[in-house]
This record gives sequence, C-alpha cells and structure tokens, in this order.
Amino acid sequence: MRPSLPACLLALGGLLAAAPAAASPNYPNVIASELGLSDDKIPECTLCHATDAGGDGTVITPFGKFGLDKRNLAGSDTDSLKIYLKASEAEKIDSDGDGVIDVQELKDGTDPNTAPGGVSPGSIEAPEYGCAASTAPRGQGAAAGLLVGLVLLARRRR
Amino acid sequence: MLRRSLSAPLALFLLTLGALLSFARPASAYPWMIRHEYTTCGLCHTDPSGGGILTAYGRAQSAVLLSTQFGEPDENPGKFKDFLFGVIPDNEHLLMQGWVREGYIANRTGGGAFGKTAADERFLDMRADLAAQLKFSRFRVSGMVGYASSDPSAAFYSQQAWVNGGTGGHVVAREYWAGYDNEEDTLTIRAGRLNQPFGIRNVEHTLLARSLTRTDSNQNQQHGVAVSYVSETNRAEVMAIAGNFQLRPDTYRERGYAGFFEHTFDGKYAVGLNSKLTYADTDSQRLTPHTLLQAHGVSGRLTPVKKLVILAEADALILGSKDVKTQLGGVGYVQADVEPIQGVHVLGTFEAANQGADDEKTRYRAWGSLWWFVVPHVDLRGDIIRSMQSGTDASMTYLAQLHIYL
Repeated sequence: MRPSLPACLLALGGLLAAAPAAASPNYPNVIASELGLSDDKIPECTLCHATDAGGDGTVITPFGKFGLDKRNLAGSDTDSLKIYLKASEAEKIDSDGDGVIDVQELKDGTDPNTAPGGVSPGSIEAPEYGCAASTAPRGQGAAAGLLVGLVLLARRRR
Repeated sequence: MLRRSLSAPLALFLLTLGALLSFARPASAYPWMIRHEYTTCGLCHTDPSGGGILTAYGRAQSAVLLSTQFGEPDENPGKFKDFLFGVIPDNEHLLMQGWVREGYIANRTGGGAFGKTAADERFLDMRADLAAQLKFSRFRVSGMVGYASSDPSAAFYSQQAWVNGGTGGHVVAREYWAGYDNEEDTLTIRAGRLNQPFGIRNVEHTLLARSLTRTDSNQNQQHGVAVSYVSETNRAEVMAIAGNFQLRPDTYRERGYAGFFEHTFDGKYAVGLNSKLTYADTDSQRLTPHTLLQAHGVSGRLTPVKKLVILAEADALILGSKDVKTQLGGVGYVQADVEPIQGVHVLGTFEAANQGADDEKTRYRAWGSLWWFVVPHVDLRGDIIRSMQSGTDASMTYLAQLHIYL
C-alpha cells in the first residue's frame, strides 16, 4: 500500500521535530575518561554551560569560554574537547587564578571557574571586554584609516 | 606652517595604520640595556619607564648597539633605522612606530625530557600595532592602536585592551595618553591608559611575575594618572589607577595605585622597590567579592661585565577578599642574559610562584632562549620553556618568533 501524501508530510514533520539541538551530553564522561576521574568527580554540564541542560549559545563560564573562544573547542566534537584538555594542561591554564590549574581542579573535583570564596559564574553578569557593546565588522577601522589618509594626501596636492 | 609639515606624514601614518589593521605585543622594553650604561629609559623611549615608541636617539642606538654589525661598525646608521625604513623623514613634532610579531608554538605535555604528548601546535599572531606621539613644546599626546586576530593566543593576551567586543578579530588600544614634561625633563605627568609602573618591564610578558601581579604590558594597562621622575642615578614613577574602562561592568574594575623606585650604583647595578595595591568590587578572574590585591617587592638589574646582565625580581603577593582567609604568597624570577657577540643574546630564566592558597603547589618554569637582532627593525627569537608543578606532569613549550618594528 503506497503511503499517502499527508502521512509522508506527517512523518517528515515528526523527523524534523525530533532533530535534536546541538548538544554534547557525553562531554562530562569524556572529561572523566580523559582525566581518569572517579564517578564522584564527574563534572556537571555547568562546568561550561549556564544550566545542566547545556545547549548552543549557553557557554558562560571562564573554563568553557576559554575553550570555545581561544582553543577551538566545539560542541558535539569530542576530539576538540580532548585537544582542549591536553592544551589546558600543557599551558597550565588557571581560569580562576587560584593557583591550581584547571585540569588539576577537575581531577580534585573542585570548580576551575571560581576561586575559593568566589561567586558562581551563572549568578553574576560576566565581564565584557571592549569599549563598544557590539562587534565592529572586520576591516572597518582599516577602511576608515585608508579613506582619511587618501583625503589628506589629495588636499596636500592641491 | 606646522599644519603643512604634518599633513603628509599624518596621511602616510593613517595609510600605514589602515594597511596594518587590514591584515590582520606590547611595547618592547629592553632592561638589559644597562650593559651599555643606559640605566634610565626616557632617553630612548617616549614612555619614561620604558617601552613604547622609540625616540630618534633610541632608534639610532638601536641600530648602533642592538643589531649585529656585519662588516665595519657604523656609528652613523642613516635613514634605514627610521620609521618605515626612512620613507618618512624625521619630524621634530611627530614620532611614529609600528610592530608586527608572528610566532609558532608547540606545547607538549606528559612529562619526560621533551614532553611525551603533543598538546597543540599553531601559528601565533602575536602583535600588530601602530603608534604615534605628537609633541608641542612641553606637551605630548601619544596613542597606540592595533589588531588582534581571532587567533586564540591573540585574543587571550589582548582582551583587556580590546576596543570592540564579541568574537572574531578585535581592534586593540593598549596605550593612549596626554602628558607634560617640566623644563628640566626630570618630571613627567601623564593621564590616560598607561602601562602600570611596577617591576622590570620585560619583553617576556608571560613571566609569572607579570601575570600574577597583573602587570603584563600586553594588556594590563590601566586608566589613570602617573607622575615619573628621573635623575642621573634615580628613576621612579607612581600611578593612581582609576580602572580599566575597556572592561565592563564597573564592578570588575580595579582601582588603587602602582609605583616603583630604582637607584643605580656605578652605572652598572640598579636596585628597585615596587609596590601595587588595587581593590575591585568583584575580581574579574577569581569572581571573588570585595577583593584587595597587593604586590610588594624588590628588583635588580646587574651587569658585572658588559657581556652579562642579570635581572631579578621578587614580589610578595597578598590577596584578600570578603569572607575568605587572606592569602600570602610570592613570585619571582632570575634571568641571565649573555651577549657573546653584538646582537646575539643567550638567555636563561628561572621562575617560581605560589599564591599561598590552601593545597597550592609551587609552580616553576625554566626557560632557555636564543635571541638575535639581525638588522635594525628585525629580530628572531626561540624559546624552550619547561613548566613544572608538583602533582602534575611537566610540560614543554617550544616557541619561535619573528619581530619586525617599523
């Protein structure tokens, strides 16, 4: 019996609805495996994310943001996580500056994002760097500099 | 008359700025110039405590004393040493300089003599900056602007100086200030975004003494007002720190003071005292509330024979925050610089740091470096760095750099 068009559309809609948002639910276990952590030291998703639900665009912690922004860490890419852990250990990265490097804090079961006595990253407005509130397009400053330079040169020739 | 004489250099400066920003480290200060009896910095640099734009005299000495001399020594280096290799003629009112630094880094971890496991390996966009100083009578205005690409290290070591936030590349403004010199050129007062006057202003900005005292000249400049003093045997600078206004929100800004005093004996031995105290409602790194950071210490620059310079610094670190026990720690290093032939430096550096936290293990790093000032404007450098901390495997960093200054 040939499937009807409405049935196909329903099935397609079901597939689309079921497509998961990008998520890396196994990352805590990958960290545990790479660092040889016991079960009681497996980190929560809040090691990097705002909540344990995780999800794209929710990385807020210094440990997570450093990996994402500066060490090519990506969601759903466990190889990138393994590389990040190795790089972090090699460079002795200490995100919260408490004297214990991030990888060691994970092994000890402590939080690499907050020094003793510090507040949780999710409970406070994160530091932002830059004078402006938004990212300027690349090359914008260069174009402005070139334009002004050309104008000045043209005026001098007159 | 003044406007006409400045418009062409200014135009070319802006064009060069545009070119540099289209593509794509901090002030280079060489404290080991004490071997040539240059115990103070203002003769060669626009920053009275070192680094930043070279003066005309500084460029000349850079060509005569810094670079390897191929053939007969040339006491009159000519225009090649000037901005853009002499394309821009000297101007008594305008100084300009540019810097490009590229590198390649390989990190290995897992212990062993050379590191057992490759951790990461990549090219580094370390620095692309352009700076200018305008001087009229006793008044000066100076500014530096650059570009930090989306390269991971470029972002990490520059974010405190970003102009635009977000991801991707960033325009960087490390220093900008207005200043006044007294008639005797012994006192300078400056206001703006300034290098903090503390410790030895090393090129090796990743030294633990720089990062733990937050005086890394790559990005730890602060807004404030500074007064510097220089005489034949003494130099000093004190800065009132108003905070880093390229960091938001205000709760994270550190406010306080930083300063140093250095005295020179016989033109070959300099001993300094350094002090810094800042308070922030919330510490931007540790996220601790009501945080007071202090660093107080001593430093030394010694050149018992011309081919050898020893730099050393030792600082006590005191960290206090609300509801947390005050930590007392320390950081320090010793560096020996041997220059067997002009322009070639062989360096050995040893560092140690412990911030005094409970269960914190002391960190050690040992560097072996080779640095060659090939010709004016160009130097090459290689470093091998071993990082050690009890309880973790030792790691190795292999770093190569090419530095061009314009």
